[in-house]
Amino acid sequence: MTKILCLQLARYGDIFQAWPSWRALKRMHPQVHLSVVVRERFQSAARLSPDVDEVIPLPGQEIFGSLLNPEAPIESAVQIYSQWIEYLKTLSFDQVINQSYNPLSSFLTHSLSHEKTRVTGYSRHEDGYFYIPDFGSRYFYAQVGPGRSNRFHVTDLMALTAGVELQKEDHYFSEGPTGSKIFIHLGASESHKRLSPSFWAKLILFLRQQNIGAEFILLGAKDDVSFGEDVQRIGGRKEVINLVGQTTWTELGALFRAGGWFLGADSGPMQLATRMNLQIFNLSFGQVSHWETGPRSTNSRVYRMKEEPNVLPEELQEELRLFFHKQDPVRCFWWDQNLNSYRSSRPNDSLSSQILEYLYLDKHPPMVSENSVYEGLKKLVDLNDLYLLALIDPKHGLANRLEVLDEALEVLSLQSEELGVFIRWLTTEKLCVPPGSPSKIRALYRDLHMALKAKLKPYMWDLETPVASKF
Amino acid sequence: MKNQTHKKKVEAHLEMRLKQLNDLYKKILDSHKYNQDAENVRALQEMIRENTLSPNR
Repeated sequence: MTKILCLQLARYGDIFQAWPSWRALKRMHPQVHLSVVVRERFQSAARLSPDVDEVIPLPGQEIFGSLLNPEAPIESAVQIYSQWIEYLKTLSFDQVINQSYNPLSSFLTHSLSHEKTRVTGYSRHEDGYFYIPDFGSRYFYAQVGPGRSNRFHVTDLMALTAGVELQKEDHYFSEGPTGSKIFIHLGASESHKRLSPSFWAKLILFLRQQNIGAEFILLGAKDDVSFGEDVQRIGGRKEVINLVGQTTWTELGALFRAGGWFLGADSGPMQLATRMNLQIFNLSFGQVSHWETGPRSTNSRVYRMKEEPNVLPEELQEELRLFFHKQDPVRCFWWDQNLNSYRSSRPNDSLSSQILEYLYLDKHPPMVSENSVYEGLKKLVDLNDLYLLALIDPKHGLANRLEVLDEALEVLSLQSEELGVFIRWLTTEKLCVPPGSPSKIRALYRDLHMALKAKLKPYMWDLETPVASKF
Repeated sequence: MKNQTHKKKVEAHLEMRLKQLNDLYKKILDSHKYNQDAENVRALQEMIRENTLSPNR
C-alpha cells in the first residue's frame, strides 16, 4: 500500500484549507494510506477530516517542557525530537507532501526523505541549504504573503504542492447553504483581525431589523467569553444564543453541517464554515489577504475594511441586505467558481498581479504606463546584465563579489512590488540550484539570469519613446 | 504585569536555548559533515524561532 505523509504545521485555518487536497488525494488514489503531521495543539482540525487515516501530532508540549526546564540539558530536548523523527522514519513514507511553507517543516521533510521518496514542498539540499522542489511551493515562497500581489488561493496552492487538481466536490463536506441560523464568530486568530463587541452588537441590531427570520448564534473561543456576554447583552438576550467558549471543533462542525449563514473575520471557524459550504460574509481588514485565504463557499463574499468603523456604514448595511437576499454585491468581492478567483464590480487587476501572470502563467507582458515602474525595470535590466557579466567573465571586478550585486537586487526589489515580483522569482529559483562545484553553480546562475533577461525583454526600450506607446 | 515579567523570563530562557543549540550545531559540524543530528538541532532552533512550541500559538 502506498503511504503518503502530508505535513501541515500551521494553525486551524490552514489545516481546514488543506482538507480539499487531502480529499483529492484519496479520490485519485483510494488505496493510499494518508497520514498527516500537525502541531499537537491543532490536531483536532486534522482529526475532523474524513479523509485522513492517521494523525501524527508533533510532540510540542514534551519538547517545550524539556526546553523550559532549567535543570534539563539542551541535549534532552534534541533527543525527544530525534526519537520522534526516528519513529516517523520507521513508517517509510513513499511520498512526503509539505504544505506548511515554513522553515521548520523543511527540515522535517528532508529528514523523512530517502532516495525513493517523492517529495514536494519546502525541503533541504543535502548540505542543509533550503530547497524547494516543486513549482507551487516555489511560487508560494516567492510571491505569497502580506503586501504581495498574489491572486491564487492558498487552498489551490496546497493542492498544487500535493500534485492534485481540485474538483468542486473536494471543497465542500456538507450539502449546502440553506439553514435557519446566522453564526456570528466574534473571535479571530490574531488581535488585528478582531472586531469590537460594540461593532458586533450594532450589526446584530441592524440584522434584527431586517426580519431575516433566523436565529443568531454567537461563537468564539474561551478567551472571548466576556466579549460574547457584552454582545449578547446589547444585541438581545432572547434573540441571541451565546455559545462563545462552549463548542469543540467537532460540535462546531455538527452545527455548521445543518447549514446557514456565517459572519466573521478570517479565522479557523470561517475556514471550517467554508468546508461546510455555509454562506459566508467575511469582514476582512488589516493585513489579511482575502485573495489567499478568503471564503469560497456558495454565495460567500468579502467586505474589505481599512479599520473598524465607529458606526455601521450605509454601504455595509446595503451589502448585508444584498447578501441575505442572494443578490449580486456592489462593493464586496465574491468567489467565482468558473474563474477560480475573486471578482468584484471594480477593476482589481493590479500591474504587479498581471506581471505575476506573465511570469508564472505565460500570459502576455502587461503594459507599463507608470514612469517610475518603467525606470525601475530599466535599472533591473542593467543590474541583471552586470550580474551576467560578472558570472561570465571571471576577471570582472565583481566576479568574486556577487553578494554586492545580490544586495543591489534586494534594494531594488523593495522599490516597488512590480520589481519585487521579478526579483523574488529570480532569487527563489537561485535558491533551488543544488550544491556543486563553483563553476557548475555559476553556469546554473547564468541560465537563470538569462531567463530573467528574456522575461524583461519586452521592457528593454529606449526611454525617449513614450512608455505607453511601446507595446 | 506579572504575566509580562514571566513572558520576558521565558523569552530570555529560550534565547539562551537558541545559543546552546547553535553551539551544539557547530560541535556536530566540527566532527561530522552535515548529518541527521545537525538537522535535528536546526529543526529545534526553528521551533523556537517560529514559536511552534508555545502553548498560546
